[in-house]
Amino acid sequence: MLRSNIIASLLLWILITAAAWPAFVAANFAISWFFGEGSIIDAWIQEPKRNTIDDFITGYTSSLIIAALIGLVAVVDFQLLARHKLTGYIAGILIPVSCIAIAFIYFPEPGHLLPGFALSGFALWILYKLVDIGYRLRRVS
Amino acid sequence: MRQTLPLTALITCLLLSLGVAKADQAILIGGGYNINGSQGQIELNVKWVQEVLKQANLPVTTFFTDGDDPAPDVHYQHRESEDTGANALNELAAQLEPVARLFGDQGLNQQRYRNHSVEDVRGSTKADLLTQSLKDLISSAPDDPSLIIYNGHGKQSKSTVDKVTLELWDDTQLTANELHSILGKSNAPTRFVFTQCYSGGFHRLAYANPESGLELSSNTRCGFTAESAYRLAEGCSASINTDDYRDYTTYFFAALDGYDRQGEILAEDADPDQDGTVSMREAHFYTLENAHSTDLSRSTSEDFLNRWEPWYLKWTSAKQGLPNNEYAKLYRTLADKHNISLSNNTAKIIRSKLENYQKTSEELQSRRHELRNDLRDVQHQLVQSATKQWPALAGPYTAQFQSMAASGVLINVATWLREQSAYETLVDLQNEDDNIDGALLDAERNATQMQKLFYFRKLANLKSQLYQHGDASHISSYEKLVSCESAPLIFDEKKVLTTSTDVDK
Repeated sequence: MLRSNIIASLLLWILITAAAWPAFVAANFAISWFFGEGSIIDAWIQEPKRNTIDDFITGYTSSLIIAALIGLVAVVDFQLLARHKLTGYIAGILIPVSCIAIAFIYFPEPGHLLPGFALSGFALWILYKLVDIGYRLRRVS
Repeated sequence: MRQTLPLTALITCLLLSLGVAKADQAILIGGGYNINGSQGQIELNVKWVQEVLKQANLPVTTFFTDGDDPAPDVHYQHRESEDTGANALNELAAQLEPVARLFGDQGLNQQRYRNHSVEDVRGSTKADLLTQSLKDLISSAPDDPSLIIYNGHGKQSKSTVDKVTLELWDDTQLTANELHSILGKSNAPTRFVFTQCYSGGFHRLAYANPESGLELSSNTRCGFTAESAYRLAEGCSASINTDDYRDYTTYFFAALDGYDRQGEILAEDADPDQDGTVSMREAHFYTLENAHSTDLSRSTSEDFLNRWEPWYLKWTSAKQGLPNNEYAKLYRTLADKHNISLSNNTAKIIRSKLENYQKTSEELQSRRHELRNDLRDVQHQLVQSATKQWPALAGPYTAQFQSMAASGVLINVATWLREQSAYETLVDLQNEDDNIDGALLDAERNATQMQKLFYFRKLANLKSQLYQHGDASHISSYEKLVSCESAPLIFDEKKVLTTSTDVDK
């Protein structure tokens, strides 16, 4: 029981850490596309793809510490909320909350960036839920 | 020693009070990489720029193609409408037009070659010779501010942007990195105007390390390029009709001169601050606003902003409203010119227009593809009929062909072709092909205007973000570049040093 809990927590931490930056990029790209804003759409057309890939990798490595922190928040959330029936309904809520908090910490004017951060948090919450459901199914079986 | 110091200071003060400034020099480099890449338009650009610089009392040292070699080094397109006195070659070209059309050489049939007519040419642009000349020029006056202008062709780099090249005479190259090391011998500010394809790579001249990094070189360097390091520039057409000119040189130097290439006074004021002098930055903004071309031009300070953009801002979407700066103003002016209303929906409108222009381009390309297939069929059919009667036509550059050409049979072939019904179809298809080329260029120019709008939006935001997120050294570097760009054609070092804090945030 303890062993599978540790494995699930570790898996969750790695998964959220690894997926945080791609989720952030995908969420912002989707918003940019939808509203027509976002220079990344133009860079994709006007610059070699290798530049965009380099920028993505730079972002990935530079954001790794923040991503690891979000992963840690997910693990704490998992331990505190996911394992109890009552709090289970709101399990994972700390992920989008922490994402939105990051916007407030790092940006002096976060207003227009909040949808991007919130959407990233939502995408990570889906991943969290997949791990959570997997863990529950394993426990039941 | 103690006595000499006050004396030196006294002499310096005396010289300054007499208004003795360091001399400026302009280095004008132009021409193609070989006869077929040396369009008459480049030559006309170089001659015009030379004239503008001379009128501004800026000493110009010019390097052009093969220097003073009398061999042909420029080609141009002969046009019947421009014919001032028909000569034998032009008459023959008109007679042979059907044969040239049949074998797809109509462009070459109209092409003429001659030696350049640029005055006061110091030497050739062949890479080794030019490198030595530039080294000599700079080391002979290392404290003189210089302005380097290049009008010619450029090549993209597959690796880092500092490897983009100037394509010089005799198929030689000079990379941005190599020019960076040549400029290392100068202690004075250097500015540059590069108008070739992929010219954006030359902004690396302004940095301490040509390959990467944001640290600026110790002596101020800044400049303007027609394009980024990744896009082709407008203005390599072989047309010598000056009405067609829409390249960066045409607008930029017209703004500095106050007159366009036809000698007409500019309809729009290129000196918005009304200080009586058009700075190079003002000329750049004038070009951005007025050039309806395929160029997405940029200055070094703009390149700096793009390079500075931190990883955490690069992927985020921009906010709806724009900060109040010169790029936002340019954006509003250009949007107005294209009847785009400014609202929360503007970005979507621009993107939809951009998509329409791109769709038009794709449709035209697909139409051209079909048309060229039809053209090939008609050509094949006519070539087969013609070679039945004149088998030597199948082997140009052979003795039989030469014998046939020398006896004047090609004229008979041309006459026969004119009588064929398929020839009419061939002419129609080739004319339509030319029209599609024109329409494609128009669509690309229109699409670029939309991309320009997004470019202005991005710069407006980036400039504001630099002052929000950037550290003091980045802000100082940016302001140094803006000050360098804001100097007029004749470099005023004192003004540049004192205006570094006057940057509009």
